Amino acid sequence: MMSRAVRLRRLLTASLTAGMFLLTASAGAAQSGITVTVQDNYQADYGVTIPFTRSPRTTDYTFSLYEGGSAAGTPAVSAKVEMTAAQGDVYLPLAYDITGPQSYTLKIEARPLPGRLGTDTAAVREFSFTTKPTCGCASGTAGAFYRGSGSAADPFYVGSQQQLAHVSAHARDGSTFLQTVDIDLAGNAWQNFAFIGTYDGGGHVVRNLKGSYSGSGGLFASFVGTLMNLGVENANITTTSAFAGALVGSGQNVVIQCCYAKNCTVSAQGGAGGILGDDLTAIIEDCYEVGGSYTCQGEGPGGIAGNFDGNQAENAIRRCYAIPTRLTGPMKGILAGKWNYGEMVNCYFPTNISCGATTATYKGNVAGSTGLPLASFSNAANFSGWDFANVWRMDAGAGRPVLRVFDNPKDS
Amino acid sequence: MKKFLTAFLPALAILTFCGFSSQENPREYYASLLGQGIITAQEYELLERYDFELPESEQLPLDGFVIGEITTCVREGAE
Repeated sequence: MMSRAVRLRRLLTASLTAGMFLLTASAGAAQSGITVTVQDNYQADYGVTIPFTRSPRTTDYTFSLYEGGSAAGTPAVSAKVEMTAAQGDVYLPLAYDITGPQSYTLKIEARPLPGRLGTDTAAVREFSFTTKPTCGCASGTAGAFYRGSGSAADPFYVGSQQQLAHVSAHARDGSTFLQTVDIDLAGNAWQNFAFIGTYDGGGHVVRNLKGSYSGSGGLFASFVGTLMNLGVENANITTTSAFAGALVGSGQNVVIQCCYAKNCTVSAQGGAGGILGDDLTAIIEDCYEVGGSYTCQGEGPGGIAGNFDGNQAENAIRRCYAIPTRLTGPMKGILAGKWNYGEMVNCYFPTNISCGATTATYKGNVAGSTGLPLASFSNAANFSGWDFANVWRMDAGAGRPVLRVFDNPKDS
Repeated sequence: MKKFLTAFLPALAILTFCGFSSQENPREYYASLLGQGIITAQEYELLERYDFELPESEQLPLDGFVIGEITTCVREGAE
């Protein structure tokens, strides 16, 4: 007769196998022959890939990831892995730290198949690893990116002050970046740089940027590409040369969407603005400026843009408003200072503030600009052509429109 | 689903238990596994030597798996 122990072991195995089947039946097999069932409904939209060659004697595994150098305590994530393929990549979701290296221990437990319970025993092995930069920089590089490849579908994630500075190391290769936290630059002089690519602020803010420059001043000295969903607050920027903007000093073939500058002080020789200092070719859409002070020695202080006199036809400011505190210097305008070839569409400025200018641009209230009493900024009906359902919302407390993207910022 | 599992798993366990209770003896059982290619002839001989009850010390640990370099990535299908 079969011993009671053998019978009991088979019974348990059969029950567990049946249970496993039921649990894994709803889990999608990401790779043929590999079914990963993550426990406890753990979720993350990024994680780790483990190239795995299974034992030829079992298909039944549990993978567990523990923070630190040993498999102690509760795992960060655990998953049942049913692997019929001889080898393949096992993907586990894992919300690891995107701002720097993090050590983990992977514990893999292999269990006998039901028919081999009498001949095989379970085995456990542990493997330690540390996350590495994903941007190609060496481990230990200050501010290196730990999430993303820089593509449009998989941007580099910017989650710290150091990582914001590290953008400069990849700013010339057309990469895409996504900011995932508000970043405070207080206490450090900001070293700006020229940028080519896409920067998505994710509905986050850069605060207390301070810098004195000999070239173009701003969070970005110059920008080619797309800048979106970023706010800059309490910046203090001075340049001894031509242009400065709280967000961008000089823009060429740049599209700036859903950004704002608030309470910024910007000073330049010519072309000082909240969003942009000077343009060659620029589209600025759904942006605003409030509370800023812009000073130029030569020409063009303006709330949204300093000099908006690009030498090509494709220059436009659409659905923007500016409520600056002070504009100082020649050729000033509340929305844009020096104005030439640009197009303005559904833009608004206050008619009853004392900021040093009274018209939309230094050339007057150009077509597409409308002056409103400041009190009228609290009425959405006054903003013709603006999308208050998706892009803007009226902030009753502020008494003016604000951008919805900052209500629900993207995070890591 | 929870109710289904609550009812189904014990029923499955009982059926399995009954099934095993009425099954063949260990020799026949392992001969069947040998016939299905689940165990090898060498393993069958080893089992036979121990009267089909291998001590833990004779059982083979399942540690013959290998991993490569672990890398970070986005969720599959998210890119």
